[in-house]
Amino acid sequence: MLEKIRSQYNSGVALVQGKNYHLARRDAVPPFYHDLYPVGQDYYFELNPYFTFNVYRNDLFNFGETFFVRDGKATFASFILKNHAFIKKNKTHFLIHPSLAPMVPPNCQQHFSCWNIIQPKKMKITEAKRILLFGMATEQYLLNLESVEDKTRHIQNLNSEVEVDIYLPPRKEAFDAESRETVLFARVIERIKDLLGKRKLNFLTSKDLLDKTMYKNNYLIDLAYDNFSVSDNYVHYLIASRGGTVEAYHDSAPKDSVFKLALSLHHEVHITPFPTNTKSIFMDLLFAMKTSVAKSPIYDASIHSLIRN
Amino acid sequence: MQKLACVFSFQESSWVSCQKIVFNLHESWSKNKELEIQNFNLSSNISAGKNQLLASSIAEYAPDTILILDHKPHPIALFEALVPLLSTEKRPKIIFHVFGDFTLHYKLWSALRSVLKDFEVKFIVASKRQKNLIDRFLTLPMTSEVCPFPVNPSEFSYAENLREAQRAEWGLQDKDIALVFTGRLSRQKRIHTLLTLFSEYLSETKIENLHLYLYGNPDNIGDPFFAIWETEGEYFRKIYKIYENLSPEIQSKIHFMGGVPNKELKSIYHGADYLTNLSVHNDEDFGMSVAEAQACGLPAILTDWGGLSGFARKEIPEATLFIPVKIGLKSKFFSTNDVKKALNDIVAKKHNVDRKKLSTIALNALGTSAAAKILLDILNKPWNKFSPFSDLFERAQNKTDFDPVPYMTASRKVNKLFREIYSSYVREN
Repeated sequence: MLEKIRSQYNSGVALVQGKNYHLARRDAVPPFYHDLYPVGQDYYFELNPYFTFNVYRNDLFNFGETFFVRDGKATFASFILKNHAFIKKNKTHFLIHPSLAPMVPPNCQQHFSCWNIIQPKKMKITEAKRILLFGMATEQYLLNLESVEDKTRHIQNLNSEVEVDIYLPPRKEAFDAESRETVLFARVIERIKDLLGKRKLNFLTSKDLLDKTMYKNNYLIDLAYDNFSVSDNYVHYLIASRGGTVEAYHDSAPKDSVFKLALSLHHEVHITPFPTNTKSIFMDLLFAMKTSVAKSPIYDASIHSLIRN
Repeated sequence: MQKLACVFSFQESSWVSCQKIVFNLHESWSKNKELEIQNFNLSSNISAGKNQLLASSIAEYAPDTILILDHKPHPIALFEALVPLLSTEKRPKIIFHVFGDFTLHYKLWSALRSVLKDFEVKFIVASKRQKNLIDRFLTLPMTSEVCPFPVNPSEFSYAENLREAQRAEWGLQDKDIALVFTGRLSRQKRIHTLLTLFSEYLSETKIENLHLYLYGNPDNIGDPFFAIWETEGEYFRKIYKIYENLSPEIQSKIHFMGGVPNKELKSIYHGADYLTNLSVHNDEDFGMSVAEAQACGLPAILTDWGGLSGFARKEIPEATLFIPVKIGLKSKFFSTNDVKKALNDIVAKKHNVDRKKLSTIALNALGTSAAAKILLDILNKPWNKFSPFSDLFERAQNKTDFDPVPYMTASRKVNKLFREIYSSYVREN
């Protein structure tokens, strides 16, 4: 495993590189692709970071010696259900977030390692001058108001001069087969205002967020309930690489780290072996898929329920 | 009293240097008390309705001159809405402060000329080399005027007491020499070349007291004129991999400091011994970081490219070491030997620069008060109607409209069009 990672690091070839832009087929992206903007934006490092749902033909999985999976639980479940036989025969080594490990079938585990992103100089929330509250305003991302409230509550105790920026881009439910209207966005704003009282709130557009070049002294709180939509979130990358602190990142390397790589001047990724004590839920997922009437596991509510619990 | 409608985005530019430029230009214009200035907000996400309201409010103000201060957004939509509202008997004159991105927007400038062909117009650029470039696109009697982007002396000036504290923070002793780069860590600023040359130099000479401090965050603008597009993170990994592959001894001399707030730069410039900037960026019309460093009395090693060449100070020629640049077969390039020779000179302390004197000279040329005088002179000089753009401009527009790689031949070499435009950025032989 380590040889493949080192070899991939040395070659540095990756599907997202500017020179490989021609390999991406914009007409073949799945319907939910734009609903994942900006959390699903591309960025590069040598381990070949990509989303499995952007791969439209299986030979592209062999583009690098490793495939750094950025998917969340929803699309990774679909990938593993459709491709477990391919993975077993294939030589590519997949790197996944530990939260996805239970979905990997036991007979494929040797093809997987895990990644963790850390920020060694993480600032404490009490030292922050600005808080950035972020979440895609969908039920699938935030899950419910209680979860939002839990993640927001500790801002109440901060110095009253700390300003709060709110970036809640309204989106469709990415992994629903049929679109439905929701008033969650309004409810979330209402709840945040209730919790934060008279503190100054600034609402950001995507352009505001992406154009800012420095996030030093900013602290990002992601309101995501879990890694359902993506496990490697571009907004986290953006804030960390521009000097901000990301609450979701740990501040110390995993004890079993075997390889590390700087993603920016402020954060790094560590690779660890696949956790051998993981209890696989793959058979449950397979059963759910076989008995499902959904057009794809991506949109299957029973699979969603399995992977989120 | 002349009435000036000063148009710019009240929202700060995402380009840090441009934030400062707009602020300082505004201050310079405002120093001229014989002008009445009213500000108008042309924000980058202005809607059609608000654009119309903005045009109406400018027309109602009835200015003698409209001043376009910022590079973004391009004012074509504003003028399309504004021109029909203006009296044909007393048309305002129009001044554009032109930034380095002029060559990225031929189509918009061309459209603007159609709208403003009956107006008297002036283009103000920030350096002589940028004037060389822009004048190739204009036709007589129109030529551009030069006013350097001003430096605010309250932010950047000589302060002897800052040096010791900054060097203590870096952990440097008197014998140590600190080179500093401030700005975007960008391919077109040739950070990868700087790192490679610096590490090679240390490795070859075994010099132990030379340090390089890099302040700024990486960008991903690549070099699209030469078919290099980069994904976010790609350039960072390119330069960081160079660093990762160095020996620990050399790594310890290279310091990635990340982005810092503007107010920390003054101290950094005082702690350093030389600023270094090897940019060959196609938008390098000036060099705000160099101007600010010079205002603090910091000498510099610079590429002789675009606006950077304007930082030669004839009173203290030793304060600026220039690396000659050529447009080669495949790209812009400079000699690695020239850079190493400059490093040799620095290490040998061949140039003993009077930093206080340099600061005074730089601020006399670049300070907001100096710019205020230059701007007033420009305003009072004779005006010309917006003449048609040149044949070179038309060719550049046609090529950039239809070709994603407009400045390369089919065999991926630099083409004639690029040379015709950007030979203005290199020293004439």
